[in-house]
Amino acid sequence: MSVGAPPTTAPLLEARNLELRYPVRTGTLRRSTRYVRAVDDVSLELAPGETLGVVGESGCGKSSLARCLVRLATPTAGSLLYRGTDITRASPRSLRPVRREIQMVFQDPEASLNGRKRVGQILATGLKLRGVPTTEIKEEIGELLRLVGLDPGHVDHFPHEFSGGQRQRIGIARALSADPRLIVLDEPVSALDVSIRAQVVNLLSDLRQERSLAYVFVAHDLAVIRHASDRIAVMYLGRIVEQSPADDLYDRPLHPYTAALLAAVPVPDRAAARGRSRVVIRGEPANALELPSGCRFRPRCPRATELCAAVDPQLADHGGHHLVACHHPLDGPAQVKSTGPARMDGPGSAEADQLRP
Amino acid sequence: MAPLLEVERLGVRFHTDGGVVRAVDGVSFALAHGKVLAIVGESGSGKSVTALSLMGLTRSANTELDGAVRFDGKDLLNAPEDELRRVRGGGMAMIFQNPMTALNPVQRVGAQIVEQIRTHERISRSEAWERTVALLRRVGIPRPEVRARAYPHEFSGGMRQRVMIAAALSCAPRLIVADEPTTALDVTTQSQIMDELEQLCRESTVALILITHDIGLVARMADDVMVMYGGRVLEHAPADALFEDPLHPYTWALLRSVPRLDRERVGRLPTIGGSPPSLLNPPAGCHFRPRCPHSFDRCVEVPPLRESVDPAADGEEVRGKQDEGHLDRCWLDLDTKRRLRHLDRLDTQAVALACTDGAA
Repeated sequence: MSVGAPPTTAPLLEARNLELRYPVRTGTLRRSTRYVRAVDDVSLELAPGETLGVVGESGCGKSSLARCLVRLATPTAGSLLYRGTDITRASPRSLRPVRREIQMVFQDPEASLNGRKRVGQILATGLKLRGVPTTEIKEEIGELLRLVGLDPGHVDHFPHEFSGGQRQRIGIARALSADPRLIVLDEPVSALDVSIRAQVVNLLSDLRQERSLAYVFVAHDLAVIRHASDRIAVMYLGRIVEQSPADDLYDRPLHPYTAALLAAVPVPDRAAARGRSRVVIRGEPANALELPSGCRFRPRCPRATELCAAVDPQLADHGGHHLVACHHPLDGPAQVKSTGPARMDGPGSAEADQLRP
Repeated sequence: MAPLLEVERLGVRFHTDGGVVRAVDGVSFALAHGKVLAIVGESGSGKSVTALSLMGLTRSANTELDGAVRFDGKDLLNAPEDELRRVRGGGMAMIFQNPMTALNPVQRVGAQIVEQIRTHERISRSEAWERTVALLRRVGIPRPEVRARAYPHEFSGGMRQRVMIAAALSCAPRLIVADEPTTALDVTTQSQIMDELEQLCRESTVALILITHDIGLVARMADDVMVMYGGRVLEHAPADALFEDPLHPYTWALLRSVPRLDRERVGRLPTIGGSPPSLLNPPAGCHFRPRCPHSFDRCVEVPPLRESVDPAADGEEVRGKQDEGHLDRCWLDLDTKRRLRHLDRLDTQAVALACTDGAA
């Protein structure tokens, strides 16, 4: 399928037309059930060692997607393949070996660490499950703590004795304790202060190189996402509306929504802050229960036409593995260009064009 | 004209089980009518406690306040509670980070604003209602006559924050204190709300104290900036001067550690090692000393907040006009700071380049 793409390794994780619906009971007696499609027809691929950034505003379904990818939620449709094995509806027992290889780091380290367990105990669980001999566990815990930049002398401390940044490091160490190939990071730095955020982002990129990890990096912060990712998917109301190699997305946003998101980020520079045109879009995302016809971004889009109301746009490649779902992308009329001098600096930027033929 | 707000050597100490926390330590500033002051800092820097103390919201049995806060010439720090109540919401209004906890969940939003108006002014319920609807319209809430009868949970986060702004504006305050007003919101919503807040403040010459950790917002909104760290002000300058010529090592490290969309991607983000000081047990001398790569023996003494001293005899010529009112709390002299800042920048660029090469 990937014609013209550079040869790639088999994908580590592959989602095909993934859907996650939540029932919402409405009506006087809560008798009618309607559904919110938090994740709607999402397809993506992740190569070993690659970082895919998923960005979007609250309610766009990025956290639901993350939960699907680690199978904390069971997708209601579509399929999810881990190293070629279908795990969409795999039973908890058969998932066990996969769970070790796919780990997750949560946004709020305070809520995701057991406050009654000491750091050593928290980390030991993953090691035991992995079959590390009891005699070596202590040593391994020390090694894990060193790896994430914590003092191995603190094994007997409780999570509350650490600062926010340190707690997130414990969360990362816990994910590493299972020796995963893939870590899904759901807003891993958004609860942290600026100076600490940079430390954790750097730590993640060091670990990735050292352990050849693949990441799915979910965040709302466009600057952090850009820094951390090889490839980025932009989500809006459950859909991926644009997907592209990281630098290309920022140099050449094609979807009006992506452009608006980028324009809305305040830049820490006086002259630029004054010169930028700010309000590109008005309003708020549509109600997920009452989606507009056609393109979901249509009611807020400055470029919307009748076509947008009639036909739901599909993702199409605009060259350089830059996919966008828009009838009126920002580089002119939709046309498939020949693959130009693409910026394919990261591994696996080629998988993108397999999404929708 | 006398400044609208004058804060002199404000100190806030909390007596806790663990000991005395000096949350705010000798903060002084003045704010003129219609100006925007941004207070930047990380968690625990004392920026929110400073704001809350201005409004008398930190008063309690275990709090010790000293210094002076004068609003329109009147002292607020020692004002009796009923006098404070007149100022709160009247002369000075506050917008909190989380509108869901700041609004009463079991009362319709319109009623909450009406109540506030009628606390401060003797007007009829229907007049107050009319004003409420007008306010809601002004902050960009569609169909305000209908929406005023809705409960807070029926609004989205952005709309709820708009309600908070309408409530803050309801008694024509001269000062609005906004504590991380858009931190909980999405960027597109943030952009809309900040635009509206800026416009409203400019239209009615309301002064604004904007408390935030978002350097981008500061660049966009502020006339003056105060950088806080460990309860103290480390740098206080006009915004242009702060961004062009940051003089405290913490400020320049902070500005650099923010990943930026308007620059080339770097291989590695510059960081500040270590973590912010514990206020129960702060380091002696300069609070930034343990994390500062440029600290020297004098830093165990607390440096004063002052204009940087230039050792050269013709110092006056070296100092540009933009240095006026540019205060920082560091023992290094002006030349050394600028030289070190330049060297630091070269260092981080070298590291970034090396990492980018390595990855390629």
